[in-house]
Amino acid sequence: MNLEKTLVMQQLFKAFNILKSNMPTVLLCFIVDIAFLFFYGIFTAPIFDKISEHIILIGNLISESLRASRGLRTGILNLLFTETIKPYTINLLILLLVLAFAIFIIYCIFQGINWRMAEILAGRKIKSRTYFLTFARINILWFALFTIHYTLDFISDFRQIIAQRITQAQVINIPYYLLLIFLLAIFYFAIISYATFNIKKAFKLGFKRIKYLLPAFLLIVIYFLALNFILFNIAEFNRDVMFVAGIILFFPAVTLARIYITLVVKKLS
Amino acid sequence: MEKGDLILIIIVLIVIFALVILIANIDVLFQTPSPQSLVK
Repeated sequence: MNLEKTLVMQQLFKAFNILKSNMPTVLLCFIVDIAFLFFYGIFTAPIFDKISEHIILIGNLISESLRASRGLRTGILNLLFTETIKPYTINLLILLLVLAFAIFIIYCIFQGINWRMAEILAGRKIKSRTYFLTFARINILWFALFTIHYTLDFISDFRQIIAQRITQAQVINIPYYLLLIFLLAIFYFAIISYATFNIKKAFKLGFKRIKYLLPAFLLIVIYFLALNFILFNIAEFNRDVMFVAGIILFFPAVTLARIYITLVVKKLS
Repeated sequence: MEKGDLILIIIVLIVIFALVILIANIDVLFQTPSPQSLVK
């Protein structure tokens, strides 16, 4: 089989050519990506600080309550809603909601701009307002699923630590691998939906054309995993080199991946 | 720019402004007692 003639590779070369001939737009995407990370940090850092402050406080109050109950068996969930701890538990839940909302807004603005630029580079024209509203609507589902994943991951880690303490031995964390597959599935359908602009269509295309879309998706995942490995090793001997290499290898690749997926989905739909 | 685009931009700006105010006052809104006050 001639690999160069496959749809997956053809679209990759096409995406490369688009990237090469549209350097000013690629630079703009780079700036927007940096701005996304910058604003993400500025908006979420104080909320994360407050969340950890509450978790530590609630942890301390729970251990105090357990000590005071002297062997009386009480569930942790019940303890979270006792009179002294309840206000902090409610505050913690509100803070988590605020965090999710802040991330959602920042993500929709900056990633929306970049996905729109990728759409334009791939030769598709959609009205700005329609684009951003649909992008936000689509992301509600992905954010909800990601939150479920995050919660399950947290519970699985918590369970793993407790199990290791009880058995005093290494325990294989099976839910971790299942959750990893779940996360990859979310990413797979999410990036297809950014190009199809319809969740239903994204699922349909994602299943029906898996033979084209999965290799394209895996190509992106493998590139970023390899990049992560390379940067991690570079960081061992020089952090500055890692930083520069990260900027050069990461950001243009993100833009390329967006254009590439848009092209593949456009070709298949 | 259409009227609808302008309305959307204004709504987004208001939401961001509200978030900024909320984050700037997060210490006042979500107070936690000092560790010393918890020690009995």
